[in-house]
Amino acid sequence: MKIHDTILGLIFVLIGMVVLFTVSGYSRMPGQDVGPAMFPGVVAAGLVVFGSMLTIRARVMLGSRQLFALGDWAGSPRHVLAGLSVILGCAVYALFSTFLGFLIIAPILLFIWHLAFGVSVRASFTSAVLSTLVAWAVFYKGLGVPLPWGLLKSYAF
Amino acid sequence: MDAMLLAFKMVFNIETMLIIMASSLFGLFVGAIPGLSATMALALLVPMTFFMDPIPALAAMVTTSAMAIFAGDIPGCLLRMPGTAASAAYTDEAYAMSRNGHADTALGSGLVFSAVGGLFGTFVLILAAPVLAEFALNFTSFEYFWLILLGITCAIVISSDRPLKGALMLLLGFLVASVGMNNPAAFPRFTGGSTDLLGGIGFLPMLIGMFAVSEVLRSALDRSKKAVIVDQPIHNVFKGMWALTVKYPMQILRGSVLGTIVGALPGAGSDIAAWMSYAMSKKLSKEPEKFGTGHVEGIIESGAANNSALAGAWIPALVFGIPGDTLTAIVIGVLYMKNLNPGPTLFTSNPQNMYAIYILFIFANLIMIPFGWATIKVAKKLLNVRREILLPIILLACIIGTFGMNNSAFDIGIMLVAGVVAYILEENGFPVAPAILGVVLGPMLEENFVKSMIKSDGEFAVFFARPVAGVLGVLTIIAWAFPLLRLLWHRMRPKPGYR
Repeated sequence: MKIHDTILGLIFVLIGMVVLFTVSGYSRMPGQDVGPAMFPGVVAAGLVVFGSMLTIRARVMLGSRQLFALGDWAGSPRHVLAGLSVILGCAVYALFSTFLGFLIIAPILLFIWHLAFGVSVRASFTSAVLSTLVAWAVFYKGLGVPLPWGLLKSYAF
Repeated sequence: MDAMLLAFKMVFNIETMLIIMASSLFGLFVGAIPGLSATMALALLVPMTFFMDPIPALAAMVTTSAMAIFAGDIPGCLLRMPGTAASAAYTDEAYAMSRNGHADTALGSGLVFSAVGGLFGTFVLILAAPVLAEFALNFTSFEYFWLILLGITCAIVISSDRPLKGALMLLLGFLVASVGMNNPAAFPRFTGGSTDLLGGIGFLPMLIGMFAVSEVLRSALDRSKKAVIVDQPIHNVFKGMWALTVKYPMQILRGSVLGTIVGALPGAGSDIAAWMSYAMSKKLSKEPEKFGTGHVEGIIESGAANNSALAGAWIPALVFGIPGDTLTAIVIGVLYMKNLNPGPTLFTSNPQNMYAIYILFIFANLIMIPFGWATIKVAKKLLNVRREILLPIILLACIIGTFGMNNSAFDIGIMLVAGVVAYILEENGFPVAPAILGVVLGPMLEENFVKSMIKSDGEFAVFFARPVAGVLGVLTIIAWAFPLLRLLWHRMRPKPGYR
């Protein structure tokens, strides 16, 4: 995914300005010249200055390159699906793992990820189940990470 | 002496030994798979270290990084795809050697001289770190302020080919570090009323997101075809190594010295050390015309450089708490997590910990030889491991590791956002390493700046009043002016063909 430096520079400038606006409302430390706004304020000013420099340089030096271009993956539905599955899979785990439980959500996600990455159904199933069990044994039983039981809470051991 | 004995006991026990063995295998495996970097290996390891004692945790970090940096040579040699960025400088050379039927010499020299370079860097660490620590005991917030500023300036101005983008990433890292109440005023900044953000944005979720999730995403979207392994037999990789040592002693020494120095420079890691060393090797060689055709000289020199840089990077990390590269930035995070706060007092209050780190470095570089040899033996099978099966499992490990630190689903969200942002920015030529340096050094910089401002009663001239602080301050300003001077130099130089 290629984004022209003109746009990226402007995004940094915008972030800097929002931060400057936010910290302008912070109070100072009593009796001191410095306060909680000082450090992020200087950082934000830097973002505005360097972001502007990036934008100006991009306009001057890079000419008329496209402002936004997707990678060659955009032409392949399988690769688009694989990328989306990575992002959505992490989001789904964050949202539903507590309710569903690790032993339910992990093999489902692994199975989908494997398929999306181009692995056969049979290999995906085998790897999803085995990997889940190994991960559960290592992290839950071995290292004591409290992986959620969710719907299987009554069977917890 | 008691401290030394204690250090030996801390390292040579069953728990630490088992962890070293497992970390060696893990580092060799990850390093040998193209697309899985040494930084990713360390990022994935951090959640595991949470459950370990301090010295075993450091053992895991030291061993994994050393093994991964060497193992990166294997796919470079057989696939023309460097396993880690540190091997990229001499990948073409090693691949050419493999195609000429000398894969065993290329891999052997990578292995043996990596270990030699690593040991050299370790001895410099052992000699230099205590002396510097003694010196640093007298440092105040003024010296630390300038030292951090000089470090980050070096990281983005001198060691990066894209200083403007590097500076923006560093500032982004500072901004992330500003979130929450971890500031001298304990004021809740940029929390938006969220209690999850009061403690700040977690270092670990961000680290795993930026170095592991972004890689998984990149691989998911990668449409390039799988590289073909060079079909050449690999015999005895140690054959001829002594002859090469006798033939190229200067190159080994030069690579080791340059690597250690570059590694110790904040922000410049093994990859830059290897590139600089390879270029120097070619420039000073008696046979520069052979470079690029499958000549071992450059591999020897830059192979020694990239592993010596690893130990070199630990010098500023341990003495001043300033990371020498991304790997030590992660290590510093672990040191703080384990209450082994880096700084000169680490050497005086708990010397056994320092001795244990020295022993770990020596041990890791020694066992690299047998472990590396075994990895080379199974290299072809290893390189045939299907990444499409491996990557989803890595992604699950990322999620579990991130969740495991605080049992927080919110951290998984941070990991995801960091991964996607890092992927987009890297695709557009923004280096990720300065952002991590910013996250690690941001709080230190702010704390030392605020302390200094309070001490000086707002007078900035006082920042230059102490001799060492003054020198560091002037050096920092010169480093800031460096891009401007470089630009002026290029403008003033007559153009070729112009009279």
